[in-house]
Amino acid sequence: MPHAERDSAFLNIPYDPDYEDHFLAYIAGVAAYGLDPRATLELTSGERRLDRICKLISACRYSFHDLSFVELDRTPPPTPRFNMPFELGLVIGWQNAASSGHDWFVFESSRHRIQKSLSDLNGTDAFIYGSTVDGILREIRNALSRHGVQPTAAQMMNILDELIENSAPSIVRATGASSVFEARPFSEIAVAARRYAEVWVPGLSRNS
Amino acid sequence: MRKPVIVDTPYPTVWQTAKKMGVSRKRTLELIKMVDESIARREEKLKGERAAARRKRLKTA
Repeated sequence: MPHAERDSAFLNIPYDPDYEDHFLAYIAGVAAYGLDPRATLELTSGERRLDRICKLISACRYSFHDLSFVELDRTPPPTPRFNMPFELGLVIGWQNAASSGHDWFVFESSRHRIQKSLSDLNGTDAFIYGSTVDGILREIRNALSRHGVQPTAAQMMNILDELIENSAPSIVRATGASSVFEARPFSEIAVAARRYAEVWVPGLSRNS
Repeated sequence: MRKPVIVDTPYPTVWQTAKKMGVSRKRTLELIKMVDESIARREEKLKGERAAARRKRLKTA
């Protein structure tokens, strides 16, 4: 297992066109806290996918698991999406077995959903964001804290606005991708988010 | 309510993030330029809005 990068956060979220702004909200949110987003989108080829997912998870100090899209998909045959809860299980198993010091956060759109869909997590505080991008940013602020520099709601929202309105569409066009849910646009959006955070979160520097 | 987890790692620079994400030096420079231009446009727009609001206040005073 690789050594966890302390400034990396694994995003376990649905890759769904209806979820693009939510995805960008997680990227903006973690970038404002000085973390780089990582996702299975980066995994392109080589060894078995499951091994690569485990490697990526264990390379991250934090992980965010959004279970709000655990539902039946629209294309037949109707099948529930198991990837997100499965990857959450991998993280919890790895954390318990390896005493890895990994911190994980469960995000849900509404409280009653998680009690019904994953009752094994009863007693675990989930971050309920109410299906909005503002809610995601708010719950990231509830989940994380920093000594000294504390990103504000307005700073995080500025980063997100810029990603949604300018950077993400430009990057998707420039890379010839069909959406943000591809390896190259994802990597470039992470770099753009880091730059916005560098400029907009005062005091943010290598040694802060 | 769970207590927030303290992130105590130093912020990565844009170059460190680019290296980690496998983005080339040339493309990173392009992305930095794109972001900086968009920030400048946004700040210009905000400046214009503030000036318009000031003019409006002076007119009504």
